[in-house]
Amino acid sequence: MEPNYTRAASLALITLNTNHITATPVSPLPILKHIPGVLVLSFESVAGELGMDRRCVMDMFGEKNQDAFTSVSIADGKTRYLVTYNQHLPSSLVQRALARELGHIILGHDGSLPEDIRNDEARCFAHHLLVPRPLIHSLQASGLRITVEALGSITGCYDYCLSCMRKQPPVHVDPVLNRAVRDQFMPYIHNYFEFQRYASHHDSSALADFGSYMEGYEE
Amino acid sequence: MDNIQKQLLDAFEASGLTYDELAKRTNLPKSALHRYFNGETEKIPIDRFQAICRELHLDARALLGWKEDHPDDPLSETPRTAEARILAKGIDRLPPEQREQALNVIRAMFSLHADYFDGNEESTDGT
Repeated sequence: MEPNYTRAASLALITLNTNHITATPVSPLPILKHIPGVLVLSFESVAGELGMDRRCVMDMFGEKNQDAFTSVSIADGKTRYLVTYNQHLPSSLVQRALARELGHIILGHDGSLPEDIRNDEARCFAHHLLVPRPLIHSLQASGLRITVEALGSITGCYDYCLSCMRKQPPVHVDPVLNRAVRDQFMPYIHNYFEFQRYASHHDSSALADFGSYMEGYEE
Repeated sequence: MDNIQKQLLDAFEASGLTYDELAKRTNLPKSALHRYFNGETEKIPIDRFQAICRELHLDARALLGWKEDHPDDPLSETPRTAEARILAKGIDRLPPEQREQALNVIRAMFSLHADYFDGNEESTDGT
């Protein structure tokens, strides 16, 4: 059995489209909160409600799940999801972890798939959600040199996340879906280039100001 | 001291056990047991509560006010109608005791928020 990357990437774009996401960084938390049958709680809330220590709760689920994980409850034909996450992490890490958990839910993972496969699919979903390829293609087509710094600043993703994105296998998403997502990002792309043009006039002075500001700083 | 803690204390005194003995049997620190029984700690972690009740021959569910037939009872020893799974990395490789403890926490959370899920699903059906 192989992960279905095309399905994961397509569902990430459908999620962007149906949630009317028109700008980056994409924030998975509001999307998660709008899905029926999904509850999102921090480790702190879980620990508080059960009268336990937060660290104890986190350790209970193993060291690999300190950022976030999803649990499923299946009863009477209803599937319910509980997403538990660590809110005391840099926002880029929280964003990536929640995007991955959102992936599990949107992809309908219920524990029946082998762990490796469901994790690969959820990661693929997360990368396509946070770094939408139609957006990147449009930026490239508009003449932006796609560097890690540029991508990081646009998507809010950190280097590691972006390097993982590069390792994602190629997927063939329906061109209609690609176009729909690209179109919804067009006003954002236009604004971004407008801003870049404006900022380029101010860059050097801004850097100089920053330098003098630091000169006066002593610990 | 609330009613639950009073019942715990009564059962402990009736058991004839010492704090040392109960601490050994439940694998809990003696100081924690003192805090639980004298009401100093308001919320007793559910896994510890279950362990104490087991040793004092108390019905944890009845003490918490759970109905016998509550479908999502997190303390139930019998199979539940709701099946809980954790989609976490390496969860199947955790020691069985730890995995069961983690599952109990998850079951408890689904139970505690049953109303949220019911309301959440109902309102969505109506839109």
